[in-house]
Amino acid sequence: MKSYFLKRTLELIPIFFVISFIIFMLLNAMPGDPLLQMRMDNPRAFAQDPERLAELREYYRLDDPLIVKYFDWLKNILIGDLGFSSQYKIPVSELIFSRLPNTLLLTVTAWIIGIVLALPIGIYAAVKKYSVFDYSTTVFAFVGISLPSFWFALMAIILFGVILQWLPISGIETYGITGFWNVFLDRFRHLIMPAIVLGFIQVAFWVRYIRAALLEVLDQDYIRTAYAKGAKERRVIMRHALRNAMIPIITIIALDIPYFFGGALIVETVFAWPGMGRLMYNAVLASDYNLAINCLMFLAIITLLSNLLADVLYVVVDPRIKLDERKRG
Amino acid sequence: MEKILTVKDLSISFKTEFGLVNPVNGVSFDVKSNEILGIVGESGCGKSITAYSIIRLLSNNSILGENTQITFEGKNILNYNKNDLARIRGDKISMIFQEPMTSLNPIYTVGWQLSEAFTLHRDMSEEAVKRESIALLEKVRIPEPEKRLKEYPHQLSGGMRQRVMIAMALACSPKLLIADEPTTALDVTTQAQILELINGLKRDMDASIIMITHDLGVIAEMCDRVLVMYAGNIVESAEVFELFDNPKHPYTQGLLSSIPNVEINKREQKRLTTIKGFVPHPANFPKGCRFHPRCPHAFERCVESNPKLLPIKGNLDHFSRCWLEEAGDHR
Amino acid sequence: MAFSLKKKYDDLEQEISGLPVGSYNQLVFKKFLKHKLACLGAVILITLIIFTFVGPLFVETAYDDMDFSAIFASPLSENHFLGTDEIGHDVFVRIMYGGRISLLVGIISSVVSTIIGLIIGLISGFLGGIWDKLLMRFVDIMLSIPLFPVLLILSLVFGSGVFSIIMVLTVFGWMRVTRLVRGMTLSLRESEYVMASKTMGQNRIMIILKHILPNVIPIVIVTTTLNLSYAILSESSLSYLGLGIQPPMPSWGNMLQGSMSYILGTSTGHNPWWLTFFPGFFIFITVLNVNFLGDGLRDALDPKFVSES
Repeated sequence: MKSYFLKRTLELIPIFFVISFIIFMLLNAMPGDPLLQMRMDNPRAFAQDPERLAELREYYRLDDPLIVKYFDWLKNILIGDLGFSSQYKIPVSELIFSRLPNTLLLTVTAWIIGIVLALPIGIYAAVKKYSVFDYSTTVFAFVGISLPSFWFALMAIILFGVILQWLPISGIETYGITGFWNVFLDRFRHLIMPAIVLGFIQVAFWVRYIRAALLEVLDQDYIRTAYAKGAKERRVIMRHALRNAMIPIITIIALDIPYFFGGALIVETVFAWPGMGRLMYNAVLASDYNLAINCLMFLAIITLLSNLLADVLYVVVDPRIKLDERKRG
Repeated sequence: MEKILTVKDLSISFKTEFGLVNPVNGVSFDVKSNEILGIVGESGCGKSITAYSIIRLLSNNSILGENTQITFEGKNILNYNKNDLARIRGDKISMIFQEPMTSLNPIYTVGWQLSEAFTLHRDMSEEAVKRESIALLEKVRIPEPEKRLKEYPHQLSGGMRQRVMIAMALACSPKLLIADEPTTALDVTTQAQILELINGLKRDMDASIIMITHDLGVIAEMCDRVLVMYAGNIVESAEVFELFDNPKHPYTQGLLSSIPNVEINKREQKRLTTIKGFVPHPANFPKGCRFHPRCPHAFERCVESNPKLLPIKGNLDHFSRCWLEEAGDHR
Repeated sequence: MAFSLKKKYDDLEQEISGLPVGSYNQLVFKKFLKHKLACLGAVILITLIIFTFVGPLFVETAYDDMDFSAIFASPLSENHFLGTDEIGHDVFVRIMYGGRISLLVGIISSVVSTIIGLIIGLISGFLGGIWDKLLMRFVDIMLSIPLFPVLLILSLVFGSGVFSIIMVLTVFGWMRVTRLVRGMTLSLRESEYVMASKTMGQNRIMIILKHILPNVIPIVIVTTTLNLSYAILSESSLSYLGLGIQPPMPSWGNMLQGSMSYILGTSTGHNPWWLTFFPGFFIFITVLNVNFLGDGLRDALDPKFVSES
């Protein structure tokens, strides 16, 4: 097991290099000369004198070959030096790590909402195949995957925030609230809409997948054997079918973690939620290349880690892979 | 001998997108205690569905006929609700299936699956279950049973998995074992071993067996009585020796003569015959006698109506569904 | 009880349905027609395409015409079927023009992605070897990175506007198609008729074109519809965020951008909900029907094939 884990991790290293190189190339492809950019940010510190400019170019190693620049950049990232944000003028790492908890709060909540809703609905739809519930679920799933998330968010804001005025329409908290319960309630009221919007759309994707996975298992011969042994329907579904279906389901849920971060980008923007997604968006708007690219880098790393997690989970959950003994006859 | 299972007028229909399909019709038979009843026929004749219907292992879109009756140990099991059915399945009536490679749950150990066979129906302690499981595995002649308990199905060969299936089926000493082509998916040597095993177990356990197969050789070796099915009907039924010596229905005759006979004397050698035509689909059963399009002896009456299953002349225990019987034409 | 012998009777149904044994295309078409939602989807989509592409020819107002006599008019007011915005643009007309852009961008980018993906997938799958394996590992990982943030960055590189957005969507859009096509190519390559063709001396390009391509087309068509729905959603999201199609050229997405300022109501106390509702609604309906269509196509073209996305 440990060796499998190690092997998978090692495999990720070349991929990490490829992806980070691509991201680096994207950074380089951004329009604009970095030196000009710096001068625009800080005109007084930069002379117009071409000799001085040439010196600066050398100092910042702007004319070094691409590959050197790449490794330099990568080295900095790995030691945590992510550079400065041209927009906020503070280190990127500070920015990212200050916003990260907010995004985590949102995505984890949405993820939990997603699982709590999708699993029972998907399972029930599979068990009661072709029933009214099943057809409604399918329609609901179609609707969910076709909804533009920002529109859904806006409509929710209009309905719950403006018309009904039940919930706040932006931000993560209201200032000036004191007392543990008040703060908790306030935070909750701010969290609930964005989390549901983010989770709801994921539910639609998951429900279809869960239903399909379970249906495929229910068609298997060993389910018939279980019934023939005298197991009741509940037991067959819970113990026999579900456990098998969980193998692909768990992998998909783990692999989808990056998508929560991606979807969070839009939701955070609409709800003015101070998280990483919104940070990235603002960076793009302000052409703050450094910040934007580093956010992307962060996402790429999360993606690689989720892949690793999915691989490991798969092995944990499926005994056929765990044991590597020869077939005995 | 008492009858432990009586099936009367079994008719099974399926609701499909294209209407009601009726693959099994008017099937009636008994199973006596301690006998092996064979059901033989080609693929698609309805023998498997017939067997499944006994413990109602059919899909949700299946409907049983109005006049169908299934009685087991004197009780009408058609009336049983899901819970009652679950109680007798695996306990009083067990079933083993054709594909051992996929009939065991891949994510549970052999031991777990075996113990389930016990714990679903009996109140036993863990050690008792373990003891009995090992004993069962020994009975089905699996070597190193203690080790096997901890293994997963994918670590066992096809023959081994089938033995485990048999063990699971016999855990609670059922009165009736339904075996749906248990050896079809296995190679010939394993097949012989499994059949021998089943035979031995039947002797020890005082159970009846319904053996479903398309292989006449298996019938000859194992069964006491045989039902021949074609297109959803029983076309012939008799004791096994009687059937092989004196087949009355043209279909049975066709089946028997299409078996290559290695031992036959050179002088008696005949051409290998086949039955012309194809097995009809359940939605397209021929009108009249269902076999008539393929029957070398068909005449006008055969096209008009389907004969009833009646005893042949001179043997009340041998039934045939053929107008030739009535017409007095013995072939 | 969920166990079924259904598989046996699925084959049966095909036999007894009484359909004439027609050509493959006929069978596919008939199967498609059975899928009610898909047919509905097709009809609605065609209507939408006509509405957005042909509709503007019948309307006198232009999308940037401003009617100052009727600002923030609500739907069903005279002259303005779906209302107007803060400077009197007619929402109905803008929806039509906006639809043109959104649909055009979506269709072009998904078709181009598909073509690229098809070519790369066929070549990679057919030639195999280490490059193929590397490519697939790369594609797998790239596919698992959430696409939208990447699109954001790409829009920085390519800028905004119709052409740029199409570029942005195409740069990564080909990957899903490639993975599927390569997988099929790989298995088809080993099939017997390909082997036979090889022994007969058929050159490789012809093998690809004649044997592998026709088998790959069905799933490619299905994937294109998936790509299309994603492209439309992405374009509108990007435009909504101000990174895609720029005003005054309307796109359903950027119309929503404009409506944002008035969510809390206007200075005169109106709540112009229609500015937010209609553009998004049209995006939703379009994507929904594309999805229906895609589902029906998948069922009709190859019921046994599960296209994993």
